[in-house]
Amino acid sequence: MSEICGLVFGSFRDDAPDLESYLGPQVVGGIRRVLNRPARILGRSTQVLPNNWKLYSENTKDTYHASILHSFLTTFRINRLSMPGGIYIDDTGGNHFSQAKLDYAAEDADYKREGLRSDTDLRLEDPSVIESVDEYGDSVSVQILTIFPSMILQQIRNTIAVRVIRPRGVEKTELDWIHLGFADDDEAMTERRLRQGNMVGAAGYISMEDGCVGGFVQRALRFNDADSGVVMMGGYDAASQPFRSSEAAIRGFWKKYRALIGD
Amino acid sequence: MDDLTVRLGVNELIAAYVDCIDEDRLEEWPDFFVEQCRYVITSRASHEAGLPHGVVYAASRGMLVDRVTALRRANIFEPHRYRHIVGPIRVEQVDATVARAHSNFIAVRVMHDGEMSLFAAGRYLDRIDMTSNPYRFIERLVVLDSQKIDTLLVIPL
Repeated sequence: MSEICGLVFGSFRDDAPDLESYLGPQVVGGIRRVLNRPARILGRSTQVLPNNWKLYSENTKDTYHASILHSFLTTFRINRLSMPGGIYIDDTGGNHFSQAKLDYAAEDADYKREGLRSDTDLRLEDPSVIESVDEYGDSVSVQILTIFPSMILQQIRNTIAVRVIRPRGVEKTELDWIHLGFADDDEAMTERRLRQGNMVGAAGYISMEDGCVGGFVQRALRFNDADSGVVMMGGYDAASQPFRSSEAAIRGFWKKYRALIGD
Repeated sequence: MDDLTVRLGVNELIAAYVDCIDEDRLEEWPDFFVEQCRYVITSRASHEAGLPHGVVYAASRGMLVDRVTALRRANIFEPHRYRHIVGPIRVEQVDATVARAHSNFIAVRVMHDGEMSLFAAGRYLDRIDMTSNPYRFIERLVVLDSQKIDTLLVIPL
């Protein structure tokens, strides 16, 4: 058993490495960045996914699908696709985090200005669902961090959550969401997190779609030769990089998985 | 107000609400609420533990309108409908303008291919404004018996 920032990890292996060596220094930094003060649980929920757990793992490692699948932000003209960011992957490939940055002040000003002049574009009636503050002071608006094999630490604006992947059979996975705030949050900050919470979880404007897309892939795979199908977009390594349009983190997952399971 | 009038008004509100959802007239759904409303879907476990997070957390009618717009225009999901069954409603007058109501419900999910499943069971805990006709919800707390939600929740409960 071992603990970092209030997250408790365990292993049945006698020769398990110490936790920080297992995570790698960059991923440790990613955890410490988000959980930088005592946390408080705001709620829990479980999303039952109609697919194998590895499809959800791929989803969390994949940086492409967000702007293709999750059209909430583009439909309501909230985000720019050119947000700077990067991917950081540990040496084994199993753990990673991706970051995207946002100019919070410019977004706020833009949304208010455009809200006044546009009447044909789709606009949010109540933009408080996205009104966020740069609580870490580093402009990072999204950080998705994964720990092999089964944990995700999420910061999407001011929504902080731990997701735990529980395989329940070949075609079923449970995703436990633990929604977090911090002990020093004031009432306004808690309310902000609760409203932004509409973006994540089983009913989240963004996360609901991750609940069904794995099932679509799983069903489609049956029609491939020998029940397997691979789409590769190019590249072989699984190294950190200063941009997000890449499959490197997915390759990292499979490198780690194959190293443990064998071909 | 006389007890029977209140009961009829509350009963009509709750019946019309599920009818609106099940018959896919979701654009009318926000009109069942006052402007400064609360609509929260949570679980029994979270509710009893006093945890404030909602799977859906709306603190204004505008947030309900946005839910419907996102469902119609943005979100990707397999087409489906619900059939709500609401049990007997217990009504209590708080004062001359506000009533409190509790009711049990189940919602069957009917997928586009006809596959049916029991999607949700739980309680509606309502605070209701009686100053308008029809009545409207000030607060509707949807407390699900199970913490598990199959695949996704996009149509309101």
